[in-house]
Amino acid sequence: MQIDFQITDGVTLATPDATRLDASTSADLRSALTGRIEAGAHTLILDLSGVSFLDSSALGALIATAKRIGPLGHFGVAGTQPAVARLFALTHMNRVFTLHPSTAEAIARLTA
Amino acid sequence: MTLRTTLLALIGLFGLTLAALATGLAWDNATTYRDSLAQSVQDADRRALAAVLRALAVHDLATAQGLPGDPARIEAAAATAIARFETAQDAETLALLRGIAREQVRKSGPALTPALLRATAGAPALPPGGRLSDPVLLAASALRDLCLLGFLHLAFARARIEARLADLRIEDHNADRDFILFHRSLTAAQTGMAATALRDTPLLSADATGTWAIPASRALSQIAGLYQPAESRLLDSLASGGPDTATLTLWREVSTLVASELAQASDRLDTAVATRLVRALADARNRMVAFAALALIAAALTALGARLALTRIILPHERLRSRLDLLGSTDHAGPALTAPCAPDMAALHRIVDDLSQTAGRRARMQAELARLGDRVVSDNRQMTADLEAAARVQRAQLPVAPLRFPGGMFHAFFRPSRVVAGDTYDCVTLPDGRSRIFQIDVSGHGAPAALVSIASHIALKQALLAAAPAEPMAAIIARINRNWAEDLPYFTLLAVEIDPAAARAHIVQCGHPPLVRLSAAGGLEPLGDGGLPIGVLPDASFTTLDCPFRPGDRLVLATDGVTETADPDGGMFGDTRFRDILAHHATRPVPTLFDRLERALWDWRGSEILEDDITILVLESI
Repeated sequence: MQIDFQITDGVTLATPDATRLDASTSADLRSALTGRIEAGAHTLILDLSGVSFLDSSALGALIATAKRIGPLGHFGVAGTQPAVARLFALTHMNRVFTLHPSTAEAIARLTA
Repeated sequence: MTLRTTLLALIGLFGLTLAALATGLAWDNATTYRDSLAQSVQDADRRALAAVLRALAVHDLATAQGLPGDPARIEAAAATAIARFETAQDAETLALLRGIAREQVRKSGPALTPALLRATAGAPALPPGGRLSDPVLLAASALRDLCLLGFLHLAFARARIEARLADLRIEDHNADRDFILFHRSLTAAQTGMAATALRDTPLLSADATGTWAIPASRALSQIAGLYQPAESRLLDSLASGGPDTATLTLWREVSTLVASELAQASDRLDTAVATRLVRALADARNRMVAFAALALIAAALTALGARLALTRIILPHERLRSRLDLLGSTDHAGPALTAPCAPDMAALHRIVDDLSQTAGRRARMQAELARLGDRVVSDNRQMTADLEAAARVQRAQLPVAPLRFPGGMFHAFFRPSRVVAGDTYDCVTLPDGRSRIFQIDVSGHGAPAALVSIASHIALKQALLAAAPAEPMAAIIARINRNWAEDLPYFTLLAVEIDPAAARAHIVQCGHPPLVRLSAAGGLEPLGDGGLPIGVLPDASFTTLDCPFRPGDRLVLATDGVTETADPDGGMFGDTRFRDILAHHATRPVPTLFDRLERALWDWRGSEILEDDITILVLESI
């Protein structure tokens, strides 16, 4: 799995090229995202518009990323598909990270 | 040993043998040649001496008869004899000849030189090895010498008797007596030697010398047979006053005849011996040269064989061995190779290097692989054993289902995807009759999830059992969440408290799929809108849901492994199918429900290998 990172106005946009984020990719996802934070990123958006499935392991990676970025930074996801959205709703992830409808809206809101 | 080596060795051996044989024969013939040469010299000496003696005898006879002698001829013959006279073939014969010569010289007086005296004085030694090995030559030579001796004897005797007849007086009686004594003994010796010579005559018949052996023998026998009677008659006649003419004439004729025959026999034998000597010399020389040549050829052959063996076998072998030694040594940088074999040896060198390096690498690699393999097998065995131990611990945590609790029955369907599971559950009953059932799903899989699962199980069970009876379950769970180590994996939890007295269930949902309530009336109802998992936010609070739990009601708790079971194309089994099956078999016995669910899942999955643990708990109200 590759993750494409783009920085727009101080917002780092991470776009994974996988449609499934599960146990086989969660370690990579976690290290890639936390690695960015270590490298200085404090506003991070994960584009999930291409992800149709996300399991508890991948959720663990997102939780770890949210914990790593801390209360002063910002971690959000954008463009979630229904199944992923249901999982986030089930686990109340809106309390852990921000759910944006789309990357454009996320960037617009964060750079406003 | 190759054929070539064998052939070379045989050639060398043959050459050596031939060379040795030819050298031996050449040496033998050289010896023969040397002997023949020496004998020729001796024979020439003897002939010279014989000539001197014969000249002396003739001179003596002429003097006795009052005829003029020929001193010049005697001198010349003597000079030749002196110049070459060194050895004689037979010491006895020589001594005899020398005695006669000495007598003749004494008789000849001062006319003869002191040189001749010197020549006849003393007995010269025979040279070692100078004796002829040819028996024919020996016999012929001996016969010749006897003939000469007989001639000299006859001439000597005749000269003495002629001298007596000349003056008809014997002045020196002692001399006469000595002469007669000498003469008789000489005649006896002559007769004995003649017998010996005649005995050897058959030996000569096979040779050209034999032609002359028979006349010589006859001439010798005539000394005793013809001359001796005539001489005896003459001497008797002399003793009786004066010799009669007939007796004197007979004696002279007989003596002349016998002397002449002896001289002829001697001369012929002389020639024959000389011829034979020359021939023997030539033969010996030819054989010597031939065998020497053969020895040379054989030696050359041997040398060639040795050289071939050296250049074709030994030297290449030595070079090869030294190169191999060089290759075998650790220091591969040897001395410069000789030009002809350098490329080959260099190539061989490289191959050996490559082979040894490759072999070393392969050996190391194999050893490493073997070690790793052993390590993996051993580690794997250990890990499997550890996991199985962990699994046993984990299984021991689980209640034996079905389990009766106050107001209901606890059923469990548990299919871990691996040896150890991230899913766990339990059912505990409080002293006041309430029962608390929980289902945990730790994020992730395998050993870490299993360890967290065990830990969370223990923590939750202890908390649920030890909490104050009045403390709400949500508060207990919040406390656990608060104390949950931040760096541990989170887990989802669904906890149900059954209050049989109130026939109600209290539900706390922490990130877990909703509880499904199958009412006795036939309805299916998912309960709860989620909640934060445990271990995500320390300050999280949890809500409690309530629902009736009346006889016939069933509460179903399932981990997400059920709905997330994927078919080969990745399609999810999903909530809908799950709830349809639950609804369809809502009134069937729970084991039947589980069986239907399992079959549906396996059919969907297409395999019994699961990606995630599957746990379904059913609380059946009784």
